[in-house]
Amino acid sequence: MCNKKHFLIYMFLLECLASFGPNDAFGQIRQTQFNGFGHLEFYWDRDEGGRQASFALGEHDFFVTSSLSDKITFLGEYVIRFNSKSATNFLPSIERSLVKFNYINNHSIIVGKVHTPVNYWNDVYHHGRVFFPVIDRPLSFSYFVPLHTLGLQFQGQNLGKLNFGYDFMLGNGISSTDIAHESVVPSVTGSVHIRPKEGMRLGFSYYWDNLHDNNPGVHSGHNSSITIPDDQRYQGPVKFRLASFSFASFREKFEFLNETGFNTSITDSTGTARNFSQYIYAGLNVTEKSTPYFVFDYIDVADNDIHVYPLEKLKIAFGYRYAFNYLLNVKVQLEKTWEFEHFGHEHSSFGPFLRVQLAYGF
Amino acid sequence: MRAISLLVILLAWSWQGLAQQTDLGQLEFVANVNGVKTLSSKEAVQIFRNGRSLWANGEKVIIVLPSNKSSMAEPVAKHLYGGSVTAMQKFWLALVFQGRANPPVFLQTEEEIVAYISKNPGAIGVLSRGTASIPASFQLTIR
Repeated sequence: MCNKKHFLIYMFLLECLASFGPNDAFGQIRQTQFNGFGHLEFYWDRDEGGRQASFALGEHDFFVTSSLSDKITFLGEYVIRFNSKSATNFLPSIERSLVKFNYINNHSIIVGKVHTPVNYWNDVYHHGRVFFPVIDRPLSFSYFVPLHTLGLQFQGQNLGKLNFGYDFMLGNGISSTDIAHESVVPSVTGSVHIRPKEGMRLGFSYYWDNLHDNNPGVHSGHNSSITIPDDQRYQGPVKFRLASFSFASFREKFEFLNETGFNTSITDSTGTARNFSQYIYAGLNVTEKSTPYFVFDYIDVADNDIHVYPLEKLKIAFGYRYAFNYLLNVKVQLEKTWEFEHFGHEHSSFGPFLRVQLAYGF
Repeated sequence: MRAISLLVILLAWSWQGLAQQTDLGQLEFVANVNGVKTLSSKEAVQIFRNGRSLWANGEKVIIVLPSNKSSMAEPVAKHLYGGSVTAMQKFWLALVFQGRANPPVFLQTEEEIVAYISKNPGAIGVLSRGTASIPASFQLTIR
């Protein structure tokens, strides 16, 4: 409750800040922009309990950017989402909050909470579903990808003929919270990319983290889909390494996104577990507004992995996206998921599910 | 499975089309930047696509564009960004949301664009050719 109160006060202060308008607040030229993003969904599926048809209220995302000076900017992103454990069924969270110092052309130092720049999706889409080319994130986001990092980041972009970019970050690791990191050794992220053509980006990254214990923080993304009770999980240290490769091409006629991840989780108990994930999206822009698409999403967690536990899963989806304009789109997606292995569960398949998402910005 | 994935990536890579074309001859450029009176067309396109965050003198680059209701928006989007007004707006909103760009200033009329640029050092803007009289001190020549 206390967190919620603080959050609302914070939002009110941000609103007040935004209401000063673009210029001349306190005698300085300043520009503050306030945006929101949200989505609604409809599901039609069938499981052991029978058929279900549900409407769902998705995340609502409040986004603010402000120029504090010519070289310093602030960016904040605050999300309210459904949570059945909350008294009101909704909980707020701070997804990004950062100050960026652009010390020389195209080079910046960032301090704060960011989306860890390990791959294209996590660097570009964040929580705004109106930007997503499909309905939801790759499967690896629930197991491998360290979604957020709180720390110090060095960033460069649009350098040279190939529009080279880099991100180097030191921060709290996967097992830490937004206020504490139980180690003196930070997580390390190194990421490089090039943009050889407009709309195209190739990137590679390496993430390194020695988890003090196997208790992933709520914003790491590593615990959201693990169904094993906390008291039955491995509790010791984990050496977590993730190499990612991204290739994105969003051009006039054809859209393509590939996210590949190679991950090792090393523990004293079971040694080195080698894991792999592959996500492919392909869309054809029949017109500027109309895009049929295909998704292939595969994840393989090794049998000796005790960080996120063994899993082999494949999701195939066909969908259609219609963009009314850049602030409103609807996606219809038919998907089926096969679980070839899932620790503690019977192997099974799910679907086909029908999902419809209305995503908007304001 | 891994071999198939790599094959799909290579096919997609080889299938890419040519870069979007631009035609800056239909546009006029305005800037309020000390020492910048001329740019090459390549530099101009790069700046308007978030290729530069600060000018050489340390001032912030402020991009000024016609808003979607302006009659200039369509020619600017077509000739500078190689697409529609919606595509231009989506391009900028996505970059701002990523934290990789400062939001551009969108204004309705030629007079508003020229007036804003004249008051804000570091600002650079674009208009349809022949739609406004630009003071000589803010005229930007594209080579």
